[in-house]
Amino acid sequence: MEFNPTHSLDDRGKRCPIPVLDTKKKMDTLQKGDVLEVLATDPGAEPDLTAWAKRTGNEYLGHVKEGEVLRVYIKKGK
Amino acid sequence: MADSEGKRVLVVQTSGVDRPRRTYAPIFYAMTAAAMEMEVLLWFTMEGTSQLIHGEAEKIELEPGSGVTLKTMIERAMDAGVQFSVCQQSMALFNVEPKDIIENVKILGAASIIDLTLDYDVVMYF
Repeated sequence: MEFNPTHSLDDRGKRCPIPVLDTKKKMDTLQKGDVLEVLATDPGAEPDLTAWAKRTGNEYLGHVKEGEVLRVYIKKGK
Repeated sequence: MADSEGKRVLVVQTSGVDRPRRTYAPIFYAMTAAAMEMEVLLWFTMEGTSQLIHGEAEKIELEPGSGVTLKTMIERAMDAGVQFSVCQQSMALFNVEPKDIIENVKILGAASIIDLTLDYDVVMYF
């Protein structure tokens, strides 16, 4: 599946809640419609970023798991 | 519109630096709620007051040797927009003076906390 990210954030090795906090900070610098790819290894990253996107008006496009690394794609909604 | 927009969360922390393992989660929840664009107030009362005394949070390290302390997390929470407040009566009980408390912490009394619990959408107690 192709998500066409326009920006990327490498949070591999970082633990909850840092990936969510970093995603929020990074997203604040983007424009509506941009797609952020977040790389994470924290086991809570997928449900946490899903919840974060739902609560903040951003669109969780999906994710890809490659071994221990999760790639999450979120589209900026506002 | 995001469904958390305008929501307000109050997090009450009663544990202090004498119980380091109880200090982290509440501040993590607070800063995460702020990142989820909610208005968040952290209220330190009882032993929790000790976390806000100059020099105390620096002594608590999340993982030994990491250099990341409770102070790092307090600063990060403030940076994320979490508001901090402390119970005036708890300070008096533990002989803590306003000058002993770190910057950007509002000192409030009992009526204020009652008022806040009624006002906020969610209150989390620790």
